[in-house]
Amino acid sequence: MNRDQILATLRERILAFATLRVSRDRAEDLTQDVLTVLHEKYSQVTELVELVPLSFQVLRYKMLDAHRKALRRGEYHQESVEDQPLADASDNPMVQLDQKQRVDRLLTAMTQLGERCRELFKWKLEGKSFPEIQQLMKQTSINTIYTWDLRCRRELLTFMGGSWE
Amino acid sequence: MADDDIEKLLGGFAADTLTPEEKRRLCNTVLHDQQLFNLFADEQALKELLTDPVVREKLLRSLRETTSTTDGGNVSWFGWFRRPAGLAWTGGLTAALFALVLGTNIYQESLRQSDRLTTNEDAPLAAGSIPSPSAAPPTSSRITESEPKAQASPQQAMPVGKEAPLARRAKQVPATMANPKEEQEAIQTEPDKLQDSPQSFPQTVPQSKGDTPDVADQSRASAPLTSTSAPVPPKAPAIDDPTTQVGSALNARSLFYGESQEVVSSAMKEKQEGRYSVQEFDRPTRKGEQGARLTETRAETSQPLGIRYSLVMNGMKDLHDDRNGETSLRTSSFDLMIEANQDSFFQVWGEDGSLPLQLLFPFSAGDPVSSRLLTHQRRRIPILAGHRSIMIRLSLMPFETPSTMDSDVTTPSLRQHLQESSASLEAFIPQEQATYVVSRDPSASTLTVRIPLH
Repeated sequence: MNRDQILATLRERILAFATLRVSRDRAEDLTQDVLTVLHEKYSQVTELVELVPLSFQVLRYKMLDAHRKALRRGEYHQESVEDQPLADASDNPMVQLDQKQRVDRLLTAMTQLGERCRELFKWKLEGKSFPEIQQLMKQTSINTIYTWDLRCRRELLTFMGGSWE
Repeated sequence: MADDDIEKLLGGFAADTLTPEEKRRLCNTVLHDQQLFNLFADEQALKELLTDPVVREKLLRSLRETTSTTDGGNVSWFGWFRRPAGLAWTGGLTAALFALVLGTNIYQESLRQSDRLTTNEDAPLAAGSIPSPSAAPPTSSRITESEPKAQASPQQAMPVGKEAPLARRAKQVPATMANPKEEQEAIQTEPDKLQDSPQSFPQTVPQSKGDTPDVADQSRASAPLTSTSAPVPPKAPAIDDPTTQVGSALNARSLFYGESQEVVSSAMKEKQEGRYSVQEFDRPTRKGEQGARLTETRAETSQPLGIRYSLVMNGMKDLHDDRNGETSLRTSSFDLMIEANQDSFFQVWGEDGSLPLQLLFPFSAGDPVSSRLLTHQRRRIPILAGHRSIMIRLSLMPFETPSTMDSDVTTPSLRQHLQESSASLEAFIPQEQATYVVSRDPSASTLTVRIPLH
């Protein structure tokens, strides 16, 4: 698969994903913005394993930007533009607070996990791959580690309230 | 990994710990699976958090702290203790320890009891202080012990002339029991002296050869109704051979209480446990209490019919009378105390010279209720004085209604009976002279005993 084929496939996936969250017109605009960024700013990235995660990241940023723009424009509350503060390029206190709250929620959720899940997350945060974790946990099959990790992730998501946001 | 299991790589994708191979497979699958793509897109938020080194370090530190606190130290041990498995182990160990201690205590207690029993059984047998009624050694051993004493005190030894040694010994026995008060004190105060006291065993009262071999004199009382404060000792029967008489007299009493070893051992055990003296053991049953115990363990099959009787003056104690209101008769009456070794029926007849025999008890010859005599249940029958002799009939079956006695019954033969007289020191009847008469024939269902009064 060359880069153009990958981007074409990604476009379909991104549009379908965005359509689930926003309107169709806005989703198409969102998808076009993502591809524009990938084409103009990351033209050197050609590998599949790099393009896909990159597209996820760009898509998330674009969706957050769209959300902030809509909020700023008063599309949700229909407020006067003069009443809203000017945009700042850096993270505003709201974003910082949001991230801080998410981190706190994540910390709280992780303390509620079982010992094995905590160990698993600890080794993952330390950067250990699944094969390495398999050796650390002395398991003969790596599928066991995959299954344990999936269950721990679902458990953590439940403790987080069903969303990472 | 199958394509369906690519979802399992989500965790590694967020932490960015996937291997290159896992990443390649994940990306290929994601491009062709919209649902998986959506999942990975949502996972991007977590990945963004975990990508931040500050957040990552914070999470890592939190996890390490949690792990270290749960790993070791008292908290870990306490945590293990609070787990269900820990609680089960602890409870099981506690129960096992408790059961072990309890079982050990019970075992030691049983050992102690068995040792005690063994000691009680062995000590008297080894010392030879308590005789066995069946083996009949007590009298002979006591007599042997008392012989030097009797020789040392000529006042106590009766001159008997030329007699067989055993007969002489038997005759020395009544002489040594001349002081009953001394005998009783010895029993009550110093049990150790019992072994040295010749009075503390059953007394055989044989008579000389020439006295009365016939039935009429077989149990002639030597001092009947002469004192108001002393019991009436019936005269012991005459025998042909003194040696035989000693043996048969001993057997009469032992046969009366049952000859089996079971009876003997049971009675000895009771005596040993109660630390009774030999005389108490040899003494007849105490108010039916010991008799009841003996009855429980007695071998009933081979026990011949036997009776124990004694005569007690009414003046010595205010005794209960079966016939209330006849207190005026007590001044000139005595009580006949009888006891049988089997459930039976009895009659008491009075003989007065040439007159025919007169039924003294029960008042009606066909009264099986009044004449019923339970095993080792002592009955007291008031008898008016004035009869030459009285006759006791004992039968396993109720008597016929005729109130006259057959002639063959009135002439009981000594050869059919074994007889023994022994002194008793019961609390309520001091110095009671009891006589045991047991049928020689174990299959005999009747027994007749004649007691001369004058």
